[in-house]
Amino acid sequence: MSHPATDALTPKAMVVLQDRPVVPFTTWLAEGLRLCSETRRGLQVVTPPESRITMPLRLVLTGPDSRWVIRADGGYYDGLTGVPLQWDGAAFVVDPEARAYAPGYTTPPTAPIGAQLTVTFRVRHTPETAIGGAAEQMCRSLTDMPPSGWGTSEPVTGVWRVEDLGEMFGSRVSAAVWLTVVGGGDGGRPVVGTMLLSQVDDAAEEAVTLVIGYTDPQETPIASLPAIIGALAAEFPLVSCFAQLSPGNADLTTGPRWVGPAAPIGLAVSGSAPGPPGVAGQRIGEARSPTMWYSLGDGRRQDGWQRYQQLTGYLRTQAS
Amino acid sequence: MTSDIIALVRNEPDIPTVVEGMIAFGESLRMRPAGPGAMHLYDPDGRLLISIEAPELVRVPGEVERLLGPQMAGKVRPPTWWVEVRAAPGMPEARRIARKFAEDIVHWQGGAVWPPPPEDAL
Repeated sequence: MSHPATDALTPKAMVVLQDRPVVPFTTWLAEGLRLCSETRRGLQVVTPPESRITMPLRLVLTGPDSRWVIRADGGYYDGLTGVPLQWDGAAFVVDPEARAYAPGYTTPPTAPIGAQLTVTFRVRHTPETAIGGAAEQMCRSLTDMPPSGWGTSEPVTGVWRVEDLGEMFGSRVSAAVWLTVVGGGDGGRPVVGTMLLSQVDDAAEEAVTLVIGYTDPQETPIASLPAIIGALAAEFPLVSCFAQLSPGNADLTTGPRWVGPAAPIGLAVSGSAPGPPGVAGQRIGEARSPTMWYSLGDGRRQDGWQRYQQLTGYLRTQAS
Repeated sequence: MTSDIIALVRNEPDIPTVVEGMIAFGESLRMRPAGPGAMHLYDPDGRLLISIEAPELVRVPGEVERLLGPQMAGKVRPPTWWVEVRAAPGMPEARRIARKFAEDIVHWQGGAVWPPPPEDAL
Protein backbone atom coordinates (compact mmCIF):
# COMPACT_ATOMS: atom_id res chain seq x y z
CA MET A 1 0.00 0.00 0.00
CA SER A 2 3.09 2.18 0.17
CA HIS A 3 2.98 5.14 -2.16
CA PRO A 4 6.10 5.17 -4.36
CA ALA A 5 6.97 8.77 -3.50
CA THR A 6 6.82 8.11 0.21
CA ASP A 7 9.91 7.98 2.36
CA ALA A 8 8.01 7.02 5.53
CA LEU A 9 4.41 6.08 6.02
CA THR A 10 3.13 5.99 9.59
CA PRO A 11 -0.39 5.83 11.04
CA LYS A 12 -0.29 9.64 11.35
CA ALA A 13 1.72 10.95 8.45
CA MET A 14 3.19 10.47 5.02
CA VAL A 15 6.71 11.87 5.02
CA VAL A 16 8.36 12.88 1.77
CA LEU A 17 11.98 14.04 1.56
CA GLN A 18 12.79 16.67 -1.04
CA ASP A 19 16.04 18.41 -1.82
CA ARG A 20 15.34 20.45 -4.92
CA PRO A 21 15.75 24.26 -4.78
CA VAL A 22 12.10 24.91 -5.68
CA VAL A 23 9.70 22.24 -4.42
CA PRO A 24 6.43 22.26 -6.38
CA PHE A 25 3.11 20.49 -5.86
CA THR A 26 4.03 17.65 -8.25
CA THR A 27 1.58 15.04 -9.50
CA TRP A 28 2.99 12.51 -7.06
CA LEU A 29 2.66 14.93 -4.12
CA ALA A 30 -0.93 15.54 -5.30
CA GLU A 31 -1.46 11.78 -5.33
CA GLY A 32 0.12 11.59 -1.87
CA LEU A 33 -2.15 14.32 -0.56
CA ARG A 34 -5.18 12.46 -1.91
CA LEU A 35 -4.06 9.29 -0.11
CA CYS A 36 -3.47 11.33 3.05
CA SER A 37 -6.93 12.86 3.07
CA GLU A 38 -8.53 9.46 2.41
CA THR A 39 -6.61 7.88 5.26
CA ARG A 40 -6.64 10.90 7.64
CA ARG A 41 -2.89 11.33 7.55
CA GLY A 42 -0.88 14.51 7.38
CA LEU A 43 1.43 15.20 4.45
CA GLN A 44 4.85 16.25 5.75
CA VAL A 45 7.44 17.48 3.27
CA VAL A 46 11.02 17.58 4.61
CA THR A 47 13.57 19.84 2.90
CA PRO A 48 16.93 21.47 3.64
CA PRO A 49 16.81 25.18 4.63
CA GLU A 50 17.93 26.23 1.14
CA SER A 51 14.73 24.94 -0.48
CA ARG A 52 11.76 27.14 -1.29
CA ILE A 53 8.22 25.93 -1.88
CA THR A 54 5.72 27.11 -4.47
CA MET A 55 2.50 28.88 -3.59
CA PRO A 56 0.24 25.86 -4.39
CA LEU A 57 2.34 23.56 -2.20
CA ARG A 58 2.33 26.14 0.57
CA LEU A 59 -1.46 26.36 0.40
CA VAL A 60 -1.97 22.59 0.58
CA LEU A 61 0.50 22.09 3.44
CA THR A 62 -1.73 24.03 5.83
CA GLY A 63 -4.08 21.07 6.39
CA PRO A 64 -4.30 19.17 9.71
CA ASP A 65 -0.98 17.45 10.59
CA SER A 66 0.48 18.60 7.27
CA ARG A 67 3.72 20.53 7.52
CA TRP A 68 6.72 21.85 5.75
CA VAL A 69 9.58 20.44 7.85
CA ILE A 70 13.04 22.04 7.64
CA ARG A 71 16.02 19.91 8.58
CA ALA A 72 18.75 22.25 9.88
CA ASP A 73 21.49 22.32 12.50
CA GLY A 74 20.80 18.77 13.61
CA GLY A 75 17.14 19.51 14.33
CA TYR A 76 13.85 20.33 12.64
CA TYR A 77 11.53 23.31 12.43
CA ASP A 78 8.29 24.27 10.74
CA GLY A 79 9.13 26.21 7.57
CA LEU A 80 5.96 28.31 7.70
CA THR A 81 5.84 29.15 11.43
CA GLY A 82 9.44 28.72 12.65
CA VAL A 83 8.37 26.49 15.55
CA PRO A 84 10.95 23.80 16.44
CA LEU A 85 9.70 20.30 15.70
CA GLN A 86 10.59 16.81 16.78
CA TRP A 87 9.82 13.33 15.45
CA ASP A 88 7.49 11.55 17.86
CA GLY A 89 7.83 8.18 16.17
CA ALA A 90 4.85 8.72 13.87
CA ALA A 91 4.99 12.34 12.75
CA PHE A 92 6.80 15.64 13.11
CA VAL A 93 5.18 17.50 16.01
CA VAL A 94 5.84 20.74 17.87
CA ASP A 95 8.74 20.34 20.29
CA PRO A 96 7.13 20.89 23.74
CA GLU A 97 10.50 21.89 25.25
CA ALA A 98 11.18 24.64 22.73
CA ARG A 99 10.95 28.21 24.03
CA ALA A 100 12.06 30.17 20.97
CA TYR A 101 11.73 30.15 17.21
CA ALA A 102 14.37 28.21 15.28
CA PRO A 103 17.43 30.40 14.63
CA GLY A 104 17.29 29.58 10.90
CA TYR A 105 13.77 30.99 10.77
CA THR A 106 14.55 34.29 12.46
CA THR A 107 17.81 34.97 10.57
CA PRO A 108 17.01 37.89 8.27
CA PRO A 109 17.27 37.11 4.55
CA THR A 110 20.28 38.65 2.79
CA ALA A 111 18.56 39.47 -0.52
CA PRO A 112 15.98 42.28 -0.73
CA ILE A 113 12.42 41.13 -0.09
CA GLY A 114 9.67 41.95 -2.54
CA ALA A 115 5.94 41.98 -1.93
CA GLN A 116 3.11 39.56 -2.58
CA LEU A 117 -0.42 40.82 -3.18
CA THR A 118 -3.00 38.13 -2.36
CA VAL A 119 -6.53 38.49 -3.69
CA THR A 120 -9.09 35.90 -2.58
CA PHE A 121 -12.56 35.98 -4.08
CA ARG A 122 -15.66 33.94 -4.73
CA VAL A 123 -18.20 34.28 -7.52
CA ARG A 124 -21.38 32.31 -8.04
CA HIS A 125 -21.92 31.83 -11.74
CA THR A 126 -25.13 32.31 -13.67
CA PRO A 127 -25.78 30.30 -16.85
CA GLU A 128 -24.48 33.37 -18.75
CA THR A 129 -21.11 33.77 -17.02
CA ALA A 130 -18.07 31.67 -17.99
CA ILE A 131 -16.43 29.39 -15.42
CA GLY A 132 -12.85 30.59 -14.99
CA GLY A 133 -13.81 33.98 -16.37
CA ALA A 134 -13.54 35.73 -13.01
CA ALA A 135 -9.99 34.44 -12.45
CA GLU A 136 -9.10 35.54 -15.97
CA GLN A 137 -10.52 39.04 -15.52
CA MET A 138 -8.78 39.56 -12.17
CA CYS A 139 -5.50 38.33 -13.62
CA ARG A 140 -5.81 40.71 -16.59
CA SER A 141 -6.66 43.62 -14.30
CA LEU A 142 -3.60 43.03 -12.11
CA THR A 143 -0.98 41.83 -14.63
CA ASP A 144 -2.27 43.07 -18.01
CA MET A 145 -2.34 39.46 -19.23
CA PRO A 146 -4.66 36.47 -18.85
CA PRO A 147 -3.29 33.45 -16.96
CA SER A 148 -0.92 31.38 -19.10
CA GLY A 149 -1.84 27.95 -17.84
CA TRP A 150 -3.77 25.69 -15.51
CA GLY A 151 -3.55 22.17 -14.16
CA THR A 152 -4.26 19.92 -11.20
CA SER A 153 -0.61 19.95 -10.03
CA GLU A 154 2.75 21.48 -10.95
CA PRO A 155 4.10 22.00 -13.54
CA VAL A 156 0.74 23.09 -14.92
CA THR A 157 0.28 21.46 -18.30
CA GLY A 158 -2.67 23.13 -20.02
CA VAL A 159 -2.54 26.42 -21.90
CA TRP A 160 -5.18 28.76 -20.43
CA ARG A 161 -8.49 28.77 -22.33
CA VAL A 162 -11.63 29.61 -20.39
CA GLU A 163 -13.66 27.35 -22.71
CA ASP A 164 -11.56 24.35 -21.59
CA LEU A 165 -12.30 25.03 -17.91
CA GLY A 166 -16.04 25.13 -18.53
CA GLU A 167 -15.90 21.90 -20.52
CA MET A 168 -13.74 20.18 -17.94
CA PHE A 169 -15.96 21.21 -15.02
CA GLY A 170 -19.15 20.32 -16.92
CA SER A 171 -17.85 16.83 -17.65
CA ARG A 172 -16.90 16.03 -14.06
CA VAL A 173 -19.18 13.95 -11.91
CA SER A 174 -17.34 14.87 -8.73
CA ALA A 175 -18.56 17.82 -6.71
CA ALA A 176 -15.42 19.94 -6.75
CA VAL A 177 -12.28 20.51 -8.81
CA TRP A 178 -9.11 22.06 -7.39
CA LEU A 179 -6.77 23.71 -9.87
CA THR A 180 -3.51 25.58 -10.00
CA VAL A 181 -3.42 28.71 -12.16
CA VAL A 182 -0.19 30.40 -13.31
CA GLY A 183 0.67 33.44 -15.37
CA GLY A 184 3.36 35.91 -16.19
CA GLY A 185 5.91 33.50 -17.70
CA ASP A 186 8.58 34.86 -20.04
CA GLY A 187 9.07 38.21 -18.37
CA GLY A 188 5.48 39.06 -17.43
CA ARG A 189 4.50 39.89 -13.85
CA PRO A 190 4.42 36.60 -11.90
CA VAL A 191 1.06 35.32 -10.75
CA VAL A 192 0.29 31.94 -9.20
CA GLY A 193 -2.99 30.91 -7.70
CA THR A 194 -5.43 28.19 -6.92
CA MET A 195 -9.02 27.81 -7.94
CA LEU A 196 -11.74 25.64 -6.44
CA LEU A 197 -14.68 24.99 -8.73
CA SER A 198 -17.71 23.50 -7.04
CA GLN A 199 -21.45 23.19 -7.32
CA VAL A 200 -23.24 25.19 -4.61
CA ASP A 201 -27.00 24.72 -4.70
CA ASP A 202 -27.83 25.36 -8.36
CA ALA A 203 -24.84 27.49 -9.20
CA ALA A 204 -21.23 26.78 -10.12
CA GLU A 205 -19.00 28.56 -7.64
CA GLU A 206 -15.49 29.76 -8.49
CA ALA A 207 -13.32 30.38 -5.41
CA VAL A 208 -9.98 31.85 -6.39
CA THR A 209 -6.77 32.87 -4.63
CA LEU A 210 -4.36 34.78 -6.85
CA VAL A 211 -0.94 35.90 -5.59
CA ILE A 212 0.95 38.50 -7.60
CA GLY A 213 4.64 39.19 -7.07
CA TYR A 214 6.38 42.59 -6.98
CA THR A 215 10.12 43.20 -6.76
CA ASP A 216 9.43 46.76 -5.64
CA PRO A 217 6.71 46.85 -2.96
CA GLN A 218 5.85 50.41 -4.06
CA GLU A 219 4.48 49.01 -7.34
CA THR A 220 1.52 47.22 -5.73
CA PRO A 221 -1.69 48.74 -7.15
CA ILE A 222 -3.41 49.29 -3.81
CA ALA A 223 -5.28 52.45 -4.82
CA SER A 224 -6.73 50.76 -7.93
CA LEU A 225 -8.17 47.73 -6.10
CA PRO A 226 -11.67 49.13 -5.41
CA ALA A 227 -12.10 49.92 -9.12
CA ILE A 228 -10.65 46.55 -10.21
CA ILE A 229 -12.94 44.63 -7.83
CA GLY A 230 -15.90 46.83 -8.81
CA ALA A 231 -15.31 45.90 -12.45
CA LEU A 232 -15.24 42.20 -11.47
CA ALA A 233 -18.54 42.60 -9.59
CA ALA A 234 -20.08 44.24 -12.66
CA GLU A 235 -19.29 41.18 -14.80
CA PHE A 236 -19.67 38.29 -12.34
CA PRO A 237 -21.96 37.67 -9.35
CA LEU A 238 -19.32 38.41 -6.71
CA VAL A 239 -19.87 37.04 -3.20
CA SER A 240 -16.77 38.54 -1.59
CA CYS A 241 -13.20 39.60 -2.32
CA PHE A 242 -10.40 40.10 0.20
CA ALA A 243 -7.07 41.74 -0.56
CA GLN A 244 -3.95 41.64 1.58
CA LEU A 245 -0.27 42.39 1.15
CA SER A 246 2.73 40.60 2.62
CA PRO A 247 6.49 40.84 2.29
CA GLY A 248 7.79 37.95 0.21
CA ASN A 249 9.68 36.80 -2.86
CA ALA A 250 8.57 38.39 -6.12
CA ASP A 251 8.82 34.95 -7.78
CA LEU A 252 6.09 33.76 -5.37
CA THR A 253 8.13 31.01 -3.78
CA THR A 254 8.35 30.87 0.02
CA GLY A 255 11.56 30.35 1.94
CA PRO A 256 11.67 28.90 5.49
CA ARG A 257 12.25 32.21 7.24
CA TRP A 258 10.39 35.14 8.69
CA VAL A 259 10.10 38.06 6.27
CA GLY A 260 7.41 40.11 8.01
CA PRO A 261 3.67 40.02 8.58
CA ALA A 262 0.79 40.27 6.14
CA ALA A 263 -1.63 43.18 6.53
CA PRO A 264 -5.11 43.68 5.09
CA ILE A 265 -6.00 46.16 2.36
CA GLY A 266 -9.74 45.71 2.15
CA LEU A 267 -12.75 43.48 1.78
CA ALA A 268 -15.52 43.69 -0.80
CA VAL A 269 -18.88 42.08 -0.10
CA SER A 270 -22.06 42.00 -2.18
CA GLY A 271 -24.82 44.12 -0.69
CA SER A 272 -25.04 47.67 0.57
CA ALA A 273 -24.40 47.54 4.34
CA PRO A 274 -22.68 50.81 5.33
CA GLY A 275 -20.07 49.18 7.61
CA PRO A 276 -19.29 49.35 11.33
CA PRO A 277 -18.07 52.56 13.04
CA GLY A 278 -14.47 53.21 12.07
CA VAL A 279 -14.57 51.20 8.85
CA ALA A 280 -15.56 53.25 5.84
CA GLY A 281 -17.69 51.52 3.23
CA GLN A 282 -17.69 52.60 -0.40
CA ARG A 283 -20.09 51.51 -3.14
CA ILE A 284 -18.34 49.84 -6.04
CA GLY A 285 -19.55 47.95 -9.11
CA GLU A 286 -22.82 48.81 -10.82
CA ALA A 287 -26.33 49.46 -9.53
CA ARG A 288 -27.55 46.02 -10.67
CA SER A 289 -24.72 44.33 -8.73
CA PRO A 290 -24.51 46.34 -5.48
CA THR A 291 -21.17 45.72 -3.80
CA MET A 292 -19.46 47.46 -0.89
CA TRP A 293 -15.71 47.92 -0.52
CA TYR A 294 -14.49 48.29 3.06
CA SER A 295 -11.04 49.79 3.25
CA LEU A 296 -8.99 48.19 6.05
CA GLY A 297 -5.51 49.63 5.58
CA ASP A 298 -2.53 50.06 3.32
CA GLY A 299 -1.37 46.43 3.43
CA ARG A 300 1.44 47.31 5.84
CA ARG A 301 -0.12 48.53 9.08
CA GLN A 302 -1.02 45.76 11.51
CA ASP A 303 -3.95 47.70 13.06
CA GLY A 304 -5.83 46.80 9.88
CA TRP A 305 -6.45 43.37 11.42
CA GLN A 306 -8.48 45.00 14.25
CA ARG A 307 -10.67 46.68 11.64
CA TYR A 308 -10.91 43.33 9.85
CA GLN A 309 -12.21 41.71 13.06
CA GLN A 310 -14.70 44.55 13.60
CA LEU A 311 -15.90 44.28 10.02
CA THR A 312 -16.33 40.48 9.95
CA GLY A 313 -18.21 40.65 13.27
CA TYR A 314 -20.45 43.39 11.85
CA LEU A 315 -21.10 41.46 8.62
CA ARG A 316 -22.10 38.38 10.63
CA THR A 317 -24.73 40.38 12.50
CA GLN A 318 -25.98 41.81 9.19
CA ALA A 319 -26.33 38.31 7.76
CA SER A 320 -28.21 36.84 10.72
CA MET B 1 18.10 11.58 1.09
CA THR B 2 15.82 10.83 -1.82
CA SER B 3 16.91 12.46 -5.00
CA ASP B 4 14.77 13.79 -7.82
CA ILE B 5 15.92 13.95 -11.39
CA ILE B 6 13.80 15.42 -14.15
CA ALA B 7 14.07 14.63 -17.83
CA LEU B 8 12.62 17.28 -20.13
CA VAL B 9 12.03 15.33 -23.31
CA ARG B 10 11.33 16.80 -26.73
CA ASN B 11 9.50 13.82 -28.25
CA GLU B 12 6.93 11.62 -26.55
CA PRO B 13 8.95 9.47 -24.12
CA ASP B 14 8.99 5.72 -24.60
CA ILE B 15 10.00 4.59 -21.13
CA PRO B 16 9.92 0.78 -21.60
CA THR B 17 12.17 0.94 -24.69
CA VAL B 18 14.75 3.07 -22.88
CA VAL B 19 14.73 0.76 -19.84
CA GLU B 20 15.03 -2.31 -22.08
CA GLY B 21 18.04 -0.63 -23.68
CA MET B 22 19.63 -0.12 -20.25
CA ILE B 23 19.07 -3.80 -19.46
CA ALA B 24 20.50 -4.83 -22.85
CA PHE B 25 23.63 -2.81 -22.06
CA GLY B 26 24.18 -4.67 -18.82
CA GLU B 27 22.14 -3.01 -16.06
CA SER B 28 20.47 -5.55 -13.78
CA LEU B 29 16.98 -4.12 -13.52
CA ARG B 30 13.41 -5.32 -13.37
CA MET B 31 10.65 -3.08 -14.62
CA ARG B 32 7.07 -3.10 -13.37
CA PRO B 33 4.18 -0.76 -14.27
CA ALA B 34 3.09 1.44 -11.34
CA GLY B 35 -0.20 3.02 -12.34
CA PRO B 36 -1.11 4.69 -15.61
CA GLY B 37 2.08 5.53 -17.50
CA ALA B 38 4.34 5.18 -14.43
CA MET B 39 7.10 2.59 -13.97
CA HIS B 40 9.09 1.19 -11.06
CA LEU B 41 12.59 -0.24 -11.51
CA TYR B 42 13.84 -2.87 -9.05
CA ASP B 43 17.22 -4.45 -8.42
CA PRO B 44 17.64 -8.23 -8.87
CA ASP B 45 16.72 -8.74 -5.17
CA GLY B 46 13.38 -7.04 -5.74
CA ARG B 47 14.22 -3.81 -3.94
CA LEU B 48 12.69 -0.64 -5.39
CA LEU B 49 15.42 1.53 -6.95
CA ILE B 50 13.61 4.25 -8.82
CA SER B 51 10.11 5.35 -9.66
CA ILE B 52 9.41 7.01 -12.96
CA GLU B 53 6.23 9.08 -13.01
CA ALA B 54 3.89 9.23 -15.99
CA PRO B 55 5.28 11.76 -18.50
CA GLU B 56 3.30 14.98 -18.71
CA LEU B 57 3.21 17.23 -21.75
CA VAL B 58 3.82 20.80 -20.55
CA ARG B 59 2.58 23.30 -23.10
CA VAL B 60 2.63 26.33 -20.83
CA PRO B 61 5.44 28.85 -21.37
CA GLY B 62 7.34 29.82 -18.24
CA GLU B 63 6.82 26.61 -16.24
CA VAL B 64 10.36 25.27 -16.78
CA GLU B 65 11.84 28.59 -15.68
CA ARG B 66 9.48 28.95 -12.71
CA LEU B 67 10.23 25.51 -11.29
CA LEU B 68 13.73 24.66 -12.57
CA GLY B 69 15.33 28.05 -13.24
CA PRO B 70 16.44 30.11 -16.23
CA GLN B 71 19.32 27.82 -17.16
CA MET B 72 16.95 24.94 -17.94
CA ALA B 73 14.47 27.28 -19.62
CA GLY B 74 17.26 28.27 -22.01
CA LYS B 75 17.74 24.63 -23.04
CA VAL B 76 14.16 23.50 -23.63
CA ARG B 77 11.23 25.31 -25.23
CA PRO B 78 7.60 24.30 -24.66
CA PRO B 79 5.90 22.05 -25.45
CA THR B 80 8.07 19.57 -23.57
CA TRP B 81 7.47 16.20 -21.94
CA TRP B 82 8.24 16.41 -18.21
CA VAL B 83 9.35 13.11 -16.63
CA GLU B 84 9.92 12.97 -12.86
CA VAL B 85 12.37 10.29 -11.72
CA ARG B 86 12.81 9.55 -8.01
CA ALA B 87 15.67 7.54 -6.59
CA ALA B 88 14.74 5.48 -3.53
CA PRO B 89 16.37 6.57 -0.25
CA GLY B 90 19.20 4.53 1.20
CA MET B 91 20.02 2.74 -2.06
CA PRO B 92 23.45 3.81 -3.32
CA GLU B 93 22.79 2.45 -6.80
CA ALA B 94 19.48 4.26 -7.14
CA ARG B 95 20.85 7.74 -7.85
CA ARG B 96 23.16 6.44 -10.55
CA ILE B 97 20.36 4.44 -12.22
CA ALA B 98 17.99 7.42 -12.07
CA ARG B 99 20.55 9.70 -13.69
CA LYS B 100 21.41 7.05 -16.29
CA PHE B 101 17.75 6.60 -17.20
CA ALA B 102 17.20 10.36 -17.56
CA GLU B 103 20.34 10.79 -19.68
CA ASP B 104 19.43 7.85 -21.89
CA ILE B 105 15.89 9.03 -22.54
CA VAL B 106 17.16 12.50 -23.43
CA HIS B 107 19.86 10.94 -25.61
CA TRP B 108 17.28 9.03 -27.65
CA GLN B 109 14.35 11.43 -27.62
CA GLY B 110 15.95 14.87 -27.28
CA GLY B 111 15.81 17.39 -24.45
CA ALA B 112 17.76 18.06 -21.25
CA VAL B 113 18.26 16.59 -17.77
CA TRP B 114 17.80 18.48 -14.50
CA PRO B 115 19.93 18.96 -12.47
CA PRO B 116 22.43 19.64 -15.23
CA PRO B 117 25.71 17.69 -15.09
CA PRO B 118 28.34 19.38 -12.87
CA GLU B 119 30.39 20.78 -15.77
CA ASP B 120 27.30 22.73 -16.93
CA ALA B 121 26.36 24.07 -13.56
CA LEU B 122 29.02 26.81 -13.40
